[in-house]
Amino acid sequence: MRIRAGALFSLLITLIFAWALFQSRGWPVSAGLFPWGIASPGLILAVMLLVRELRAGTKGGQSGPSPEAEAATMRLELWRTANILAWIFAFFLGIWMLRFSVAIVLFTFLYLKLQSKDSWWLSLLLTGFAWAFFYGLFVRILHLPFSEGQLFLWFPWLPSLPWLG
Amino acid sequence: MKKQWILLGFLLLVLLAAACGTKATPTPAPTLTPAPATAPPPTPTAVPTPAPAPTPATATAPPPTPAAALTPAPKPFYEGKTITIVVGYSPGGGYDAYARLLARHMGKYIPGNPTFIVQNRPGASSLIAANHIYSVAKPDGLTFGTVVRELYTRQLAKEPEVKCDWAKFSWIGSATSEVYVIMVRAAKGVRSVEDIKKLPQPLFWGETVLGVGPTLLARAMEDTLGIEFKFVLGYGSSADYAMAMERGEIDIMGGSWGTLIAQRPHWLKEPRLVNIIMQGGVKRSPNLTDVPALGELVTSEKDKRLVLLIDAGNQTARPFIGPPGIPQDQLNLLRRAFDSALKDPALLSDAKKSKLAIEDPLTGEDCAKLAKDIVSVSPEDIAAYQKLLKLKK
Amino acid sequence: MFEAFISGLTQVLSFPAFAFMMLGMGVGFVVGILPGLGGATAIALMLPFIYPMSPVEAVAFLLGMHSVCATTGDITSVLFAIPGEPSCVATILDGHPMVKKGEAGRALGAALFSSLLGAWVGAFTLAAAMPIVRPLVMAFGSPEFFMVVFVGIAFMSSLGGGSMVKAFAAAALGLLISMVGSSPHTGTLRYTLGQLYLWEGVPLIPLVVGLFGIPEVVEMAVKGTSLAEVGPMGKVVGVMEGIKDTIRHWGLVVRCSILGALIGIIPGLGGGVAQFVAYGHAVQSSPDKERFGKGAVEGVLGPGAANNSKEGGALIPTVAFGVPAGATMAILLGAFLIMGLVPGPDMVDPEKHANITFSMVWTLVIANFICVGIALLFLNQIVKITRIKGTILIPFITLLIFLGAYASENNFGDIFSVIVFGLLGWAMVKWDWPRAPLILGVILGHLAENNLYISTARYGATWLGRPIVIILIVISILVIFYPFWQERRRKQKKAA
Repeated sequence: MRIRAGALFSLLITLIFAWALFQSRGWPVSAGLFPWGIASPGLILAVMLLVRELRAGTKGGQSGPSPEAEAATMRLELWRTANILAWIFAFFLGIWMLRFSVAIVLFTFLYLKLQSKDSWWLSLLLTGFAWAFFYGLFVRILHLPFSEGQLFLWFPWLPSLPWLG
Repeated sequence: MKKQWILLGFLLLVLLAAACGTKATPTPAPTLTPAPATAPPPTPTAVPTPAPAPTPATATAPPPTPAAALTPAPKPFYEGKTITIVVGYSPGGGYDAYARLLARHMGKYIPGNPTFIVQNRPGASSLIAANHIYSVAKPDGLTFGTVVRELYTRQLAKEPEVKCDWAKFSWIGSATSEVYVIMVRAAKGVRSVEDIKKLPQPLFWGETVLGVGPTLLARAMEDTLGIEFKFVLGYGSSADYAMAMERGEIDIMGGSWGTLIAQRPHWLKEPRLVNIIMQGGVKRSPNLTDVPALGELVTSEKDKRLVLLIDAGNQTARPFIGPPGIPQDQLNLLRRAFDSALKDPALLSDAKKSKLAIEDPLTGEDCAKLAKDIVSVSPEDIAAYQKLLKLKK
Repeated sequence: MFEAFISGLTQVLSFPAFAFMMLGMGVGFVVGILPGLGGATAIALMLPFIYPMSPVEAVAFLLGMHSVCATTGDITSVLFAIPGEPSCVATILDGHPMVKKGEAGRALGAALFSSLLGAWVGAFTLAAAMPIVRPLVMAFGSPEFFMVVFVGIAFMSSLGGGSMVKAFAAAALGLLISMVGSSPHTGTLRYTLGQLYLWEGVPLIPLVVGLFGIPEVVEMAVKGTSLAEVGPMGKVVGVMEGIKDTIRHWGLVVRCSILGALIGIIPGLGGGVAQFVAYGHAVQSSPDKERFGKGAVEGVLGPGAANNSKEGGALIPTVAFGVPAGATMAILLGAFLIMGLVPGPDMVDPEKHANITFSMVWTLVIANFICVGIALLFLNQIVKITRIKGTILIPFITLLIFLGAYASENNFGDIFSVIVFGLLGWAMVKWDWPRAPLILGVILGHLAENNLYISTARYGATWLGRPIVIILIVISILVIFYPFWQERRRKQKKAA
């Protein structure tokens, strides 16, 4: 399982190098020389890795001290990885759809309350803290341009939340 | 368990300290980007160097603007509002410096004394900022910005990424004009454009990329004067090829006259490192009357138009533009405030200290007219111009 | 000269200048810790305040701020695996594994103390180099730049740790990423995917923040631990240990500081290169290379020293030629102009402004001394962060990752880059791909390409015969083959 996934990653890298070579086919020499010079050996290395990992995968897939216990840990690990990646991706979507300030409040609070299972007041306190840090430094002092959430641009009739900064 | 709470409390303290620290340490921070209309007087410590900031006058004196008198009863539009100046580059460059200069001084010439803030949106040689100002920013008179002066050239080249029209921006004005000069290492013994033609080998011209002001000039010299250069491209910044010039790695470069005298005056002191052989533009700048302009050296009308086209950006060297369709009232307020601020002694003194030239600033109306002329040149001129964007071969 | 040297010191220590330096340090401390907010931005934002100051006051204020950034940037790098400054990436490589081993105090102690020594060596270089700076800088042209970069690339072979093939593939990927953007020679848009955002290349900060920060968050969540995975819960040990490490390896620290200062002097190379050359040197000079990447203190000491000493070095061309050695120095140059100082020979002339140049030296020395002193006092407290329950820290670290990436360029694309490179970094960790060669490739690729083109466009093939180039070629061959030679000797010894 683990080995095959590793081979998938090597395959991805191989494809990236191949794509890079393919893209650069029509470029003038002075623009293409370096990309060619880098992507060609890169492609060879990646193929080497891919072959090596595929071989290892077919040879020693079943070995291991106690397959059941390992499988259980692996399942847990997989579940937790998927879980945190989903949180991170949700935060990203929140920033994109709802704007930074709203996403910060939602993400911090929900993560602390649901995932970390902290008490109400602690979650609220830390959330307030995260928002104050963001607002005080990045909005008030540095005036970073934070754009409006995409959702509000798509549906202009949605009520915006200006009090969040 | 108890320990964890103590630690948590500590984390809070640390983060709080960080947040407060940022709020408290730069005590003057609130006045940092906004215009310091009520800036604290300079430190009482003896400062031997020139007279400090002119703030005392602005703190007590009535606003020197006549505009205030014209709008007596109703609350001025800009009162309590914040105007954002978008800069297409990171903090630290010339465009950013002019934006921050204006942000400090423009507010007091607008009825209602709005606050000014500067936002940096770098990327793609300020094209990201230009597209943003053109189509994302609202034309409510609360946002304008500054982008690369040669943006129009990419519009003329019909690059699909240029999603704005140079002539349709709401022009606030241009803070200064600039002159490009062509410098040759004195060791080469070249004193004029004619001398270059006599050299056995072409000179090495150093630059970052093709298609920027100085390389456009170089390519125009090739196409109109029949000179040949060898281009050495890929330097990281103008500082890098200036260094290469000192080392003798390159022989010739172009650059703004203002930057040269501000940052590298030792180049012109005896023994001179460089000779200035030409200036860009149609005619000679009043500051550089003994250096021939490219416009005098070319012969045909077509070439003269080409020179005009390349040099147009230098007339509006620090352009300030707003999104199309700013209501005329607001636009006029901004334009007049821009003009007045550029005559403000306080601004001029700041500019002088920062070595930012304020030469022949243009009003918004003049800029708009110029922009319209540029984008409506003939296809033949555009074709000649587009040839300058590639190496001659 | 000596009088100017002393006068520089007394001017920095006199009242308003010293207060301004402390104020600048306060700002620099915070800016350094926060990822994305760099020293360059901070100085640019502070420029308006220096108008009423005298030159020495302004120097103390700005340099105090700037020199502290590189020092405190290491704290974020070590603790959270998010670089506080772009020049603090290399300290992650071994600093963060030390935190996981429960040695946060030791890692921070080593990073800070080596920073202090590095800053001092850098300042000393600035002072010592003044008379010889001109020939030194003049001797380095584009061919020599290319060779320095090449030596850096040669170090990649030592950054691998595990599989060499993976290390080189990662390096190739990094070099390829550095090709993204418009090519300077032809204007060809390479791998930009039709995005304006990528025209000037993949921005470095979102890349490193994602590549190192996101996998860290994932790992914390998966293992369900605090930042420190193991280690004694009771007593916080190690800050003194880190200081002792610095003294124990003083030779390495001094060598890396000198390397950093020398690379700093060369305009156009910058801090990104210095830290990795120092890291590579730390790896290569150690008898046991296997420890690196897993929490070897030398891997913290080397880059920690170099990223501070480069500041002293970088001031040299800025002051003496008006040629800034990087973005921050370009802004400082603007500040000098505001103060009425014109860079050039006058700045190193004892009859004229040499005292101001020396006040820069002293500001570097004193500001870092105070900053490291204060930081060391609180270090035992800061280190406790690493024992807080992981799930409480995760939202804050994630927030810092996204905000830090966004704050550098204010572009939404940065947020997207964080996700993309975060996933890449996570996959690389999971399947044992080293990330250091990738970062090195990203930093060096563009420099290598441009300087090679400039060299050939200007000199044809003759540049290969330049003396410094030949020396650097020899060095790079040594760098590549030294490990093999060392290995063979060890085997021979064993056999004997």
